[in-house]
Amino acid sequence: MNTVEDRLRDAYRAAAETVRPETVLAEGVRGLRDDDPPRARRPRRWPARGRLLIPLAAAAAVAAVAIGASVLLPRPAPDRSGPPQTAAAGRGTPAFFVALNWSLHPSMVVVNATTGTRGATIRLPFRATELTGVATGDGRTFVAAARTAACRTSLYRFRVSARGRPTTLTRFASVPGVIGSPWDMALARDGRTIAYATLACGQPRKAYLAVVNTATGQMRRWTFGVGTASAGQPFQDCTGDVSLSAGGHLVAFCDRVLRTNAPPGSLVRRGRVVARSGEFGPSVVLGGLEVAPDGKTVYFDTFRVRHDKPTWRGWQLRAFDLATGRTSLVRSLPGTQGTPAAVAPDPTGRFLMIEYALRDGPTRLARLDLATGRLTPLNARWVVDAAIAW
Amino acid sequence: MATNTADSLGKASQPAPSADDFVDEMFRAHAVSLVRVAVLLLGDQPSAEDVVQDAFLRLYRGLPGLRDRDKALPYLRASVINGARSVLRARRRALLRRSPHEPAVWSAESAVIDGEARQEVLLAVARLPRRSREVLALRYYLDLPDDEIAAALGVSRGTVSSTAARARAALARALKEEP
Repeated sequence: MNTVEDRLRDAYRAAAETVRPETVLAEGVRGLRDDDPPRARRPRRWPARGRLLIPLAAAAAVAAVAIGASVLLPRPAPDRSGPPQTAAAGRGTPAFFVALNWSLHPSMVVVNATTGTRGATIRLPFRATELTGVATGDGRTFVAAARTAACRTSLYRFRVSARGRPTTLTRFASVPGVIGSPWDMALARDGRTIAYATLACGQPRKAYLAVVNTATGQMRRWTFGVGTASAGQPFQDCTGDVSLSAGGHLVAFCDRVLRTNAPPGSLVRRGRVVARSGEFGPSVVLGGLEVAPDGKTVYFDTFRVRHDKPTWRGWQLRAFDLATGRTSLVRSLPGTQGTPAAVAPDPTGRFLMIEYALRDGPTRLARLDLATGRLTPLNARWVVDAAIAW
Repeated sequence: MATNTADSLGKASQPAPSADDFVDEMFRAHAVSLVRVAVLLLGDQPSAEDVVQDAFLRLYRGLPGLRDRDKALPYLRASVINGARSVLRARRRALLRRSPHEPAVWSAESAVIDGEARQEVLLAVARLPRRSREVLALRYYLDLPDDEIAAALGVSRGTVSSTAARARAALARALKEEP
């Protein structure tokens, strides 16, 4: 048994045989007949936002420190690639965004923000083994994160011209820890201020939220709650889902926002809570937060769950006004599921790129004009749980 | 010719089974293999059973609109694939919030797979992109031809071939084997 195919068939057979026919066939199709009601499924626990942050064993306050590899941003080169295309849908709105089809392809692609058409592919540098995120603040300068050696993350910078042409990736920093998902990193408009959440190595694994000025090397870091995690198992606390205002003054994570000049230390009972699961109904849970570029509004999605699975009964986008503390419904999309990506604003704050899943179908992209409420679907059938940097 | 006519007459004279009986029959014949392939995609039996149950219920509800009952099995396969994708989406959302779910059969926490070599293979598969995992499971577990895999995944045959080739090459690199 030497070939990959032989080993694959053998391993599949062994895994499949863990399913005993008698356990599957015993009851037939549950809920098929009126006198055969659906069996209650194994109850699972969906985490309430209020439980996400557990008390820290010790508040490891970390003062501002310099990261090892601070560099100056390269001076933006004049764009000689010809006249820029018309902005996607408004003045200042970039005509292109960068998508990372997280669950499908280990590379990024430039996408036309009006049509959804894919353009240039941006591949990983040779040494990087896993692309873990992409972010932008102005729609032109992007930062990509890639896991390289064990428990370190390399940061790469690239630009996308007004005609959608990307430059090559330039490695400019390395940070300790692992950026766990594409939504755990954000970039301010200046292209220098990066917010990210990482899981450090060792046991118990500590999780950090950090805001770094890559021009000066100054870093402010806060600690999430400490839990236990093992390979292949998710961390028990919320430790990510990061977005940043354009000015880099406000960072959103999990269910709350924090000013980036807040003193370093524990995040337990810190920051301002935007919303909690259960606030909009007993089985309505909170998705990810996305702070608007102006830092005045925080968008978040909510969805209804049943037996721990998102239902198709309604994915809803809401907005929290930080000045008034009021929440308003922005958009409801019945018959859809939100995806992990869900919402990405453009740098002007007028548009949101929304990713959702149709019933029994692949995911879809649509551009929402917040000024008019108009939702324009894009022809982007290629999209699957894409992280979007616009 | 005469035999064909007789067969077709014979078939025409038999009443089609009721929807209940038909779905029951399909369940007895295919539920186990569908749950098994869902386990290969999702890693745990409870989630796999939920997905397959949903697929059969969807078939039952959609049966009046299904012109050709021979299409029921491809319909079920596609439904299971879509259901598995939905579960994986939900897990990624849960992952963002660090909500635990059942350990995969190939994980270190699970001891149901016998042999480290097999776990090594399944772990390598688990690191592949989603479409690659789907193509491999349908091709090397269910032994489906490429056109049926394409129908189940909603992609072209060419995409199935190229995805399978890339996936094999990636596995070979990971396992240090010949592709």
